[in-house]
Amino acid sequence: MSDRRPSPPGFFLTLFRRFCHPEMLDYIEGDLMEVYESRLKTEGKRKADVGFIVDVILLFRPGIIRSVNGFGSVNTLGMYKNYLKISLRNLLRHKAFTLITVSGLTLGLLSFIFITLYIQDELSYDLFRKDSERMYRVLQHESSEDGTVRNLAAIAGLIGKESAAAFPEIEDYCRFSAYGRITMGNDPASRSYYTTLTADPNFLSFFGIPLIEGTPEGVFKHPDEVVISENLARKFFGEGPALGKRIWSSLIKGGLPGEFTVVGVMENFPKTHTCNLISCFPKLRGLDISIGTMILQRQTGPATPM
Amino acid sequence: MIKKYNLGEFEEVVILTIGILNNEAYSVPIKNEIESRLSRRVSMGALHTALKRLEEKGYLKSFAGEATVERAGRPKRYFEITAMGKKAIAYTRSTRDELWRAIPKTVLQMDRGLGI
Repeated sequence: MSDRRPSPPGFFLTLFRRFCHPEMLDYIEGDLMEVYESRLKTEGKRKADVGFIVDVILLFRPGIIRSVNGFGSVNTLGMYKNYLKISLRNLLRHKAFTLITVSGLTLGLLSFIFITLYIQDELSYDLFRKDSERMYRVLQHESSEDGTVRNLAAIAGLIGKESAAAFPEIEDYCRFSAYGRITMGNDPASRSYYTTLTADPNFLSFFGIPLIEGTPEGVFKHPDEVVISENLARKFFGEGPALGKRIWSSLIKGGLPGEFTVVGVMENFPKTHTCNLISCFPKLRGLDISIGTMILQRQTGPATPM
Repeated sequence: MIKKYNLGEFEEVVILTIGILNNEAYSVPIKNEIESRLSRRVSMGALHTALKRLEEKGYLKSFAGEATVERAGRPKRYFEITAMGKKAIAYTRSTRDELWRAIPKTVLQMDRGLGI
């Protein structure tokens, strides 16, 4: 009938239509229009428009907004749980297949972990030595009459010395031998046995083991002197300097258990060695047979297999 | 069994107004009535939120009305109080009365008295 229908601001009307919850949209829009009409009559178009805008803005409330486009609260946790549930059900539908696959994956993962650990362990040896690629250990390859073949690490002491003289490719050599464990300790109460080594004078420089106390030239001059590791020094002598102190040991010197003077303290070997003390006995029986002989190959051209 | 009718102040006013209007209660008259009786501005958003909440709580019931030209063809929504709604406002009233009665007379003594 009357098409002289002044309408409220269109932008706000559409805005309201967009954010309002569909359930209530009709009613509230009807209310808005009714109020607009009555305001139009009493106050005029401008005031009615303003009123309309204010009303729409004030209607922007949590209860009225189509708050969540799904008529419910957003439940991401529920979604994840459902996802897991369905996947679990799927797996359980084919039990055998699941079993095989999962155990295969487990085995694979375990193997990977073990191999990694093993390799890490293997590669952690010999970290002191700066030229470790050039160093080789001389072994003995023995085959006896009845056909058994053995590899021995212990060889005669002279082999190291003579081969270094005979082969120009050998730059240096170093021999060492072990007494196994000997009891040491000044205080009879705190004695305990430690692994020890006896070695050639160039032991420390050959392997690049730094000395914490003492000078590299001052060690290994006298059969009476030892170099001990840092651990031992701390254990016997506390935090003070260990140079010059005496340690009692059960090694027999001249018929009696002898005491040794400390002439150097070296850094601890890494965990893969357990050696605690080194002493140098060039003429003592120990070096007739040396447990280990290491040779350092001269650095020329590609490595030649020895 | 103690039921907890948690009724906000504005919600209580709305329910009472609906009772006053008695079958003529849809959003616009409710708004006008509150504004005229209590002389406070009521925004449509607050009113509609309150009405929706009350309906969810079960204190109000709504039914659709006719569409008119003024409303640009949109239908009206009439509200009426349910039995639980009646209990709720009665409960609110009785608790308020109890509190009033418990106040010692001297506190509320004013010039014109309060008729307690």
